[in-house]
Amino acid sequence: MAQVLVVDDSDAVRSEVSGFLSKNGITVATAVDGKDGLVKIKSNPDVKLIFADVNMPNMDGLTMVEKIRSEVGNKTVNIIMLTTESDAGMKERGKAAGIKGWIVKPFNGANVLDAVKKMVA
Amino acid sequence: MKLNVIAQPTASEHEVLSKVIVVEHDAQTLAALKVFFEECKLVGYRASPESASSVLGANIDLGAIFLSETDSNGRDCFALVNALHMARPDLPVFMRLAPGHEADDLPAEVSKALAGVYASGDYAYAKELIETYLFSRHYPNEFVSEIKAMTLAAVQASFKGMQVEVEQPYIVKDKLIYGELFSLIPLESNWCRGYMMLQTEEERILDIIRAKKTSVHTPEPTFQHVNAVLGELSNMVWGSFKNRYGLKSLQDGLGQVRVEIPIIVNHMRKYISFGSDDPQLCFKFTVTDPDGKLDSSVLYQKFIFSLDWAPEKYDESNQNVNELVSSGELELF
Repeated sequence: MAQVLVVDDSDAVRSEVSGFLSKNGITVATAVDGKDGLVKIKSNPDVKLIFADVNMPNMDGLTMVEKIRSEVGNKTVNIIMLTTESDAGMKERGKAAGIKGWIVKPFNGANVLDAVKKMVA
Repeated sequence: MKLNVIAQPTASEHEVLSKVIVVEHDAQTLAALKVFFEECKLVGYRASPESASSVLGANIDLGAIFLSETDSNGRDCFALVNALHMARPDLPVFMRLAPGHEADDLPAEVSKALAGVYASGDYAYAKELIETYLFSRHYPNEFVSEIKAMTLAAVQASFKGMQVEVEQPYIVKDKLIYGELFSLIPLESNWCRGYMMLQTEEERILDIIRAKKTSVHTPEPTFQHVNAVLGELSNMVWGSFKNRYGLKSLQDGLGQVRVEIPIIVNHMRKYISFGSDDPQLCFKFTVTDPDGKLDSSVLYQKFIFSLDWAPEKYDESNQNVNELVSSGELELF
């Protein structure tokens, strides 16, 4: 049963984030793009937190977040965008879809561990 | 191959240089070229007529070739001119005419292979030639400094605990590809449009992955893990560029012709053309293991603004660029 879902088209990012979380006792599932993320969140309804990239093939991360809320009907899962983007308009779109936070890459696990532990508790 | 450097200009950290090969036997001319190169921000590598082809083969990031019409025995260098031009048609060749000779005296096929000729001592005209063929584009120092800082941060984040050094930025006319793999990503702002290319060697990056100094953790990394590291590095630089300079508004493009040019890759020759002869801005990063256990890895980063380049707009809008974004911090909503 995964506590966190990491959605990123980059194998390097999936490996880094899931490796860090696993080392800290957090169970992780991964998805390779927004479409895959939708499939994985449906099959892992107990996921408490999603890390999602924005720029991904097939379906971008913000569209995936909106669909998680609307199509999947999951209104409660915590979502943090982990992306190279820092555009204010994108952040507003994410906030409107109920995301909890935004990290500009690169990922620094030590900076977010406390917040992650609270969100998956 | 150890290179005989005849000129190494002093320049500020972000001033753009270019590397050139010099085939010249005359001591007086060599001394004058050294002064000329230093003034014009050219790094000069000396070669003999016999070694010119091998020096050329060992350097894939050059800007031009300077040579004299005759060798030390008074024999013409026409065959060498043609051979160099055949080998590297993108490199402009500038020939110093022998005393008393005129450009019109040159055989037609030699004239075709040359970008320009200059008389002994006429460095004012030689300067015009390099400004036409080599420094035809102005890359603002501040822009160069910014993109270097963005990339350096991304390279350091990608290769953890490794030392990263970057050479003085330089202009390249060569279109040759370094290593076995490269990434290519479009870049666009209100004043530029083109591509960024990152070229490197697979085995060196694999070594760094095996040493657990990247974000990829796997006992047996493959070329696909190398792709992942290079892809994410490119993504981070792209993101920094976009966050700093923004994207061209689609509204700006209404009614405008949006130019696209095919990119041609010749795998056999390790050659890539973006359809433009404009000089490319190049940075060379060297990633070194501080413990000395790994061989150094080289990353060539090239910027090819082949679709739009208007640096005067950069200068105008420089006060309005976005602040560099602090990365790695969680912004909670």
